[in-house]
Amino acid sequence: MSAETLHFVVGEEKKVRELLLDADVLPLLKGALAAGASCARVTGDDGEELWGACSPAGRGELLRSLPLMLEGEPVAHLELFGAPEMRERLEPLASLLIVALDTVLRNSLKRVLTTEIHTSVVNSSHEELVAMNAELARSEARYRELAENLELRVKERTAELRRAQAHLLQQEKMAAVGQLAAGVAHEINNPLGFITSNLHTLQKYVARFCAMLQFYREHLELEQPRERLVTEAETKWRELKLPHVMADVGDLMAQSLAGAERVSRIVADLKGFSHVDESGESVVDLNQELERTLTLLSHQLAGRAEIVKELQPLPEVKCQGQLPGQIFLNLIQNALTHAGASPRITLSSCFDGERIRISIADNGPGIPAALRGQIFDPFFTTLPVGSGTGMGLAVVWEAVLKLQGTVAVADAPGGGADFIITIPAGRN
Amino acid sequence: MTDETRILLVDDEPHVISALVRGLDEEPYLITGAHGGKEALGLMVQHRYKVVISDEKMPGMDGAEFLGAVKELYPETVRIMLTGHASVEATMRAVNSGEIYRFFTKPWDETELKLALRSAVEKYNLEEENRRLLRTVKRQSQELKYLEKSYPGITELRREADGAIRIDEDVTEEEIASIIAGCNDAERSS
Repeated sequence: MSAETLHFVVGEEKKVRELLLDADVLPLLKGALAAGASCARVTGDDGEELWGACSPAGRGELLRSLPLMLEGEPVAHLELFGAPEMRERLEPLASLLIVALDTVLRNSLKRVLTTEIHTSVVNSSHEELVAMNAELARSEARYRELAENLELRVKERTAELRRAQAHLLQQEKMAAVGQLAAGVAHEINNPLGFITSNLHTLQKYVARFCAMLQFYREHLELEQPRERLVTEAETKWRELKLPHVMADVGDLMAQSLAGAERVSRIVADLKGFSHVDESGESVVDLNQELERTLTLLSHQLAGRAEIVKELQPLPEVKCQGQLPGQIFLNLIQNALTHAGASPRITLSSCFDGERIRISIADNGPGIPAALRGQIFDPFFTTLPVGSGTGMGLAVVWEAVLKLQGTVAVADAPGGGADFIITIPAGRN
Repeated sequence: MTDETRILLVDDEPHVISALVRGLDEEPYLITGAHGGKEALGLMVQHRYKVVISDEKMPGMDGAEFLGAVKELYPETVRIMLTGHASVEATMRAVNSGEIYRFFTKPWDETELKLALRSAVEKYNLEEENRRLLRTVKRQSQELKYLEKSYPGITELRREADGAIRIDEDVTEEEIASIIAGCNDAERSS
């Protein structure tokens, strides 16, 4: 309630018309007529008649005119007309009427003032309420807008996160492929190394063979005595270190061929694993995919991990060719990472007529029940910061979903983790 | 310096070792192969190897670990790494923990490897020579200290204003000559 909204009526011009009602004035004037005045009226300060009461007999002369004061100023006049002989009687009446009017006027004024103050107070509080209301409406609108914006922003962020996550999953797949490629490169470079080296050596050996043959050709044409030829040939033979070369060349060739064989097998495995020459869906045998994955990881497994296989024949599954490999690769690598110094990984598969069930169990510390809900979340990792991306199992989850299957983790008999993949058969 | 030059090859792949042995057949080295870090360290206890060439990816002890151990136990042995896949991380680890002299990837270049081996052996021999000379210098400075203790002032050289060495007058020409000869003999015998 501020003072500014209060208009004090004091000092504001109030017209007599506003302060005196007909009902206040007319009875008094009529009373004057009854008392013997021929005409009684109240005029404004401009002389205009405001109220009047006259007898039909006519006005007669003005007997008395008295000012009606309001705040020290005459605002109206009371005029009484009548016959001259009535003056004495009417003059006190006029004074009485003025007093009465004055009283009424004052009261009226008080009432009006009070009313006005009240009204203005009410008005002002109403205005304030209206203002507050408007303010509230505005802030509500702001909130609504904010809420809508927030929702929009949340949606945007969520979409952004989804994009980032998809990107990371892709990256993780690439990282897994990169790791695989590194291993495979090592696997290929090893045989390639000794094959190349052996070929260089073979080049030297061949040069010596040629030198020896050349020697024979030349010396045969010379037609020397036989003994001499034999001795000279023997000398040349030793000079060229041919005994050693002859002893070694068979091994050299066998080892190089074995190396070449290994390289071509690795390439074939890699090609089979990646299903690079298939487009869309293909029919795969999950056992074969498991074996392929193991072959590719052989450099990581050899001499380090013990692999136990309990595979039963499975029906073929129609799916995107690279999915099974993704699942097995990540799960086996995960088992290798967590299974400690001497990993033992047990791979088993079976078919119950409806679903294919594949289990990959390790002899590591296992997964505590509290974490089982989280392990398939992207970024969830128990490894120290920087050593794991926490995306491997998320990749598995996604791939299993695409196969319309499920993946869950249980306790392996030995206390390690046992990842169980269930895939409906006969997706045709 | 006449002792034979022993070289140790460490690789879990026997074919790689035999290929290397073939390739280095012409070189004047005694080459031994080992299939892993543990076996190699066992061999190093028995003989002094001038150069060790090790693979990186091996079951059990990997190359970086093995070369790190070699650096600790036999710091004078020159270390070379020969690996099938040089991941940045493995390379960094090998260089930092094993302080390797050279890094080769498979397939390797025969000639480059030969040259690297030669310079590795040369490095070993030079350092060996350095160590020998250092030992000599140490011994001589100890002898000097001992002499100074027994004959104070003997290790000081007094010079004239024009830079000529001043010798006490009671030393004869013959004595000086014999001293010089004695010094030269001592130099030769060390």
